[in-house]
This record gives sequence, structure tokens and C-alpha cells, in this order.
Amino acid sequence: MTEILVFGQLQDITGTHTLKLEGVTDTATLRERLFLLHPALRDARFAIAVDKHIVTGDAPIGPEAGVALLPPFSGG
Amino acid sequence: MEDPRTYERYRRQLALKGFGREGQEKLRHARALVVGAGGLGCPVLQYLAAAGVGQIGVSDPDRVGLSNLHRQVLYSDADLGRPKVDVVQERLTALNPDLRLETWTTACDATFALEVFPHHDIVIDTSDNFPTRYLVNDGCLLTGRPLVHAAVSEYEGQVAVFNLAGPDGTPGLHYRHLFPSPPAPGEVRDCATAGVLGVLPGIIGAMQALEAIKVITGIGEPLRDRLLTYDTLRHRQLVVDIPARDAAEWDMPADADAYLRFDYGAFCGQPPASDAEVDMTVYHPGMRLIDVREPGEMPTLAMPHERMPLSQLKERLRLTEGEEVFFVCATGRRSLEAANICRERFPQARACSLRGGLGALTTDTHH
Repeated sequence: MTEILVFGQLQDITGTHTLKLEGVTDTATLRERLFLLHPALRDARFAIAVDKHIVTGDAPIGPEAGVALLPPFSGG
Repeated sequence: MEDPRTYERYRRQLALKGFGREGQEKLRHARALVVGAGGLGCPVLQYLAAAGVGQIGVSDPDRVGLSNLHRQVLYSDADLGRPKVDVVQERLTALNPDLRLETWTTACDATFALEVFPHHDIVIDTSDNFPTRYLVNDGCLLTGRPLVHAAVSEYEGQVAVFNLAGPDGTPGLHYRHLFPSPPAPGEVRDCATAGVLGVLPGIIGAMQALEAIKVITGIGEPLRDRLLTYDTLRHRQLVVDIPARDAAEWDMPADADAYLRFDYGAFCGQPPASDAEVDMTVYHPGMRLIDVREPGEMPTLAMPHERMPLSQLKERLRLTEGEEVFFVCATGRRSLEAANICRERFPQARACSLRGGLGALTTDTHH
């Protein structure tokens, strides 16, 4: 079970600050599963962090990995 | 530091292990530029001035509005309508008379960045919109200045240090490594629409001031190439490494000329905007309020104003030096034309137009 911390206004889309997903082994699968559950995420911009590193492209997600979805903030 | 009052003022910092006289001297010689004097800017300015940063520059075109006061704690009710940087000048020089403070009532644009950034050792972005965030980032890269970035959203904040060379001289990463391109307009709602808890920018702005002090004095480990995200509702705090992305991932001006031509509003998907278009918070009683609708158009404005239909503006408009004019009409279209005519004829004048027209007038003004 992968725990996914959701930050910023992405929580308005997911309806929660923490998601739990089974069988997520890489960020490509993660995106696919997220978009299926919450189609509005498709149009949202966010970085994906796996074990405290923002990843680019398709990156593996280990069984114990912590994942976070980080959107940009603009407010000052 | 030989002066007893200076020693007394900073003695609790001087007493700190790893900071001491050396750290205090570094602060005294530092020149920090703060872009914006809003929710994040207030604590940044207060703490940097209090800590003994020798020279601070600050730019903000806004005036104090009533809806600012729940979070912008440098300002008080009596300051409503005053230019923010004027109040900053008053408060900070009262706080620390040794401070050398320079203020600008202009917004930070590419010309400003190229002229002003090089006279500072560090830039602190406390702005409130994506075009300015990318503009400040690119300006710091072109002028070789480290950047302390922070931004807030509702109950959460982000802090990072960009473009700071490592001990071995490796260049630092920057905002585009984190977010290569901006979100679509409206995708991320700003504080005005989504709201912001007053204490949030106090916390995040204090962290931003802390990072600036760490970069200046060399203590601790600044958030170089890392992003801190803080969720105040649950005290979730996450620090993540920013990846070194390939420059092919972004569209960024390569030199000063390209920078001056780069349209950051368009880059962030905004429709072409005129800087003459403002909202009602910009209006203050010292301005001439001119309604450019034709005679008979209703409703009549309740506050003192002049009526000068757009069709007669060119013949009738006269300005004395230093006058500021605030044009209004029904929708904002004719008043924008009026502001452009006014600027063309009186290049020194400050002319603006109410965006959206009289229909956009709400109770959220301080008049």
C-alpha cells in the first residue's frame, strides 16, 4: 500500500490530504491510477516526490516508498 | 560593533554559537532586495531589519487596503490608502535607525530586475503571482543573484533557495527545475479568491527571512536545491530534493535583450494586459476620479468625481504636475482608452483605469 500525501489545492480534487493506493510500482502507473480516480488531476500541474526526491519521467516507486504530490503556489 | 548600543542591540545574536561577531558583520554588510511588501514581505522586512541586515531594498506598487490587515502586520488601520513602501520606510527606520532602506513604488519588471538586482547580494521573492515569480527567477539567473523563494496557498506554504552556488562552486538549481512551466491561468487560485489564513504568511515569511539570514551568514544548511512544503493544519512538513532538469524543458530568455522582450503575462497564459488596468484598492482620495461615460449614463457615482465623456477627453483633459487620475466607465473598456490617451499626452502622469468597470465595484474597498 503506497501512501500519497496531497498538498495545496490538489486536495480540492482528491477530497483528501492522504491517498492510499495498492500496486503502484512506478510513477507512470501512479499517474494512470490517479487520473482514473480523479480525472481533474489530468489538467493540474504538480511535481511528484518519491522518498523526498522530486522525480522526472517514469521513476520506480518501492513498496515502502512515501509519495507526495506538490503543486506550485503563487500567493504572497 | 564597538558602539555600546550596537553591541546591546544584537547581543543575543552575538552570543549565539556559530554566529557571533562574524555573522553580525556579514549581516551588516549585506544588501537584500525584497520583491513585494505583502503577507510574506512584512515579516521578511521586519526580521531582516531587526536582525541587522545593513541595506534593504523593497519594491511594491500597492497601497494598504483593509483586506490586507489580517495578515500584513506591518500596517495598521490608520495606514489605509497609503503606499505600502511609505509605511515600510516609517516602521523599519523606527525599528532600526542604522538600516539603509531604499524603496520603489514600481512593480518589479525586467528593466527593474536588470538595474536593481546587481546592487544587491540576495533577492527575496515575496510576490503574489506566477508571472512575477518566473520574472524574478530569470532576473536572478541573468544577474547571478541567489534567490529565496516562498509562496503560500490557503493553509500551506513553500520555501526554497535558488541559484545559490555550492561550496565547490557548482551552480544552484532554480524555479524552473522545480516547475519548468507555469500552471494554466485559474488553475491555481490566488489568495484573493481561495483565501489565506492570516498567520500563514507570518510563519512562511519568517522561514524565508531565516533562509536569507542563513545564506548571508553561511550558518546551517539553507534550502539550496530543495523545496520545503509546510501544511499548517496538520503540521505536515516535507523537504524534497529538486531534480536537475534539462534546459530543453523550458522556454527562458537567454540574455538581457531577450529578457526585456519576454512577455511573462503571456508566458503564464494571461490575456494581454495593460498595466493601466487596476482594481479599486489602488484608488485613493488624492486621485482625480474621472467618469468617462456619456452624459446620462447611470448609475451616478456616489463619491466625489468629475464627468468627462471619452468623446471630449482630448479637448478637455488638463493635468497639473504630479496629479494622479483614476478613470472609470461602465465596463473598463472606455476608461482604459482614456488612461492610454492620458499617458500619451502627459507621460509623467499616473493614469489608471478601473478593470471591469463600475460593475466590478464591490464593498471590498477601503472607501
